[in-house]
Amino acid sequence: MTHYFHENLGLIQQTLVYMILAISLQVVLRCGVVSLASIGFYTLGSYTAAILLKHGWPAALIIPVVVLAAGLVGYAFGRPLARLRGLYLAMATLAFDLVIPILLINGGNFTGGALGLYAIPVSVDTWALVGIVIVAVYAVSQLERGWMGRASLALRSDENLARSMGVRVTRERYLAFAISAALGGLAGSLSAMLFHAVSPSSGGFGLVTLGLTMAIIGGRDSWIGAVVGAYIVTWVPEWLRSIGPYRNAVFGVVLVLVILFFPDGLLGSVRKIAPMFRRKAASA
Amino acid sequence: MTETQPTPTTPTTPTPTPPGGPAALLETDGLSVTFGGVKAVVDVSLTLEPGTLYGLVGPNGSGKTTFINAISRLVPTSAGRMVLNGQDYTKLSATAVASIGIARTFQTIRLLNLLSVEENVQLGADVAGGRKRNLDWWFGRRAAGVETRNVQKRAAEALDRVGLAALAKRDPSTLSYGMQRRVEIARAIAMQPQLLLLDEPTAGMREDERTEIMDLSLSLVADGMTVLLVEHNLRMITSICDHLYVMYFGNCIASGDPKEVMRMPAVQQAYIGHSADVPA
Repeated sequence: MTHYFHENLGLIQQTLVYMILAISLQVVLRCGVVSLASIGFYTLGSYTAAILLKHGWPAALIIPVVVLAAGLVGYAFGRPLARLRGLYLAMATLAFDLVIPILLINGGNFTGGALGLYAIPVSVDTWALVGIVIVAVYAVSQLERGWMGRASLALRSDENLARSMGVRVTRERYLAFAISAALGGLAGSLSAMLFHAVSPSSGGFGLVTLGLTMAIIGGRDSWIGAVVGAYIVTWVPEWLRSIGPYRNAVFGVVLVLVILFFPDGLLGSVRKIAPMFRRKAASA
Repeated sequence: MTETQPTPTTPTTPTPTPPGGPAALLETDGLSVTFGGVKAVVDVSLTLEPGTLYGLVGPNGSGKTTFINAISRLVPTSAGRMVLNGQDYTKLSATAVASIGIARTFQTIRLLNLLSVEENVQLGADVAGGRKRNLDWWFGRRAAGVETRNVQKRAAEALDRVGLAALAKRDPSTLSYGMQRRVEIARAIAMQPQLLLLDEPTAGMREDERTEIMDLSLSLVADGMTVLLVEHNLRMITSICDHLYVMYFGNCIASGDPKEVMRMPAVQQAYIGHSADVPA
């Protein structure tokens, strides 16, 4: 067990960071806010943490600073975007994600240019990471509970219905933006603290695709789906390593099949199928 | 009941409350809604009193739903004002209107299929709970638990009221059309409104289901709620409503006792194109 843990430590850490990144996307998608901005905040969070670590800041201070700053910027970012819906919002936030690496490449010594920043002191151990993930997941799970859970689903399904039920649509959208940004920043800062280096290519379009895949194949209706999605996206390519150069192609086909046959994500499909089995068992 | 005299072909004027009579629950004064160049609602003034069942009828496209959308602030008004319990709420948001005592249903069923029947109704009950997001709530403390139980209780009572308590755990998409309509009404009742706006609640229903909805409306009114019912079934609405309003091309062309209103030439003209004898 210990041997397995040490052998796969990097992968376990990557999974945990991706879990936070996946829930940062899921938390907005659940509200019907198609924002991809958390990927941009991931990149900003990773650079902020890297720069502060290099200046001798302790990780225990950097994490709350990054989370708070990302949340506030995310809230402010949400205001001008509040009028956009659906694909228009996705395009605007994608532009934000894609502009950040360009700014970082042109940031000179401060951001390390195209090479990024490296030799960042490792400052978070795996158990601390597990604790942070548990806290983040708990916070998001609370958002899905009780009136907030019902309000966010109403928001996604029908804004007029949500309004007529007294849901503060605009405020809930801002809040979703802020929480998503804070989680994105948190995932980025943890990534910088664990993996020694950050580069402009660590964010951008590749991570947008990966993050969306995690949030969607697991099921966007619950944090559980995002956590499962992060696990699948991190581990399945490793399991396919034995097939060599074809593994990415096979993984791609697996993803397409999952999305074709389980459009509500794995969790959504389980929720749909489970009552059928229950009814069958009850009638037997 | 409002003492408005039938006023065919001209928009009604606000009815002054008679001295010593019941205070108006809702008053609209010269309410208008325009979409670009289209005048969907034109200068409509009406008065709704507490504990009364009102009917709102009119041919398709006459502006009934737009009027309800305006009262619930889902569409912006271009002129006029709206007063609930003496307070002008013309500038309030739809969200705020939901919390001051106006609940509504929609013409088309709008249930959330990701939630169970009882959770759908709890969405309405949440309004009365105030949706507090404080430390109690985040950390699952006792105060939050009490509010959660209150919401559950309000929702259970509303479901019981519409006769669907036994189906609380069901997925709403597995219910019949009539039952889904009743879940929507339960969700609105759970908001504990003073004024309930029902937009064609019996559309597409069987006769027995319609009767159930009408009986439910009457029982809500008997409990002191004011109900404004938009309907196309004239026979049914004239038999149960205390007061009827008729809209035509965005104007309120008549109001008063339902049977008297239906005999008016202007109303018959609007509905069937010519006057006809209506038995008293």
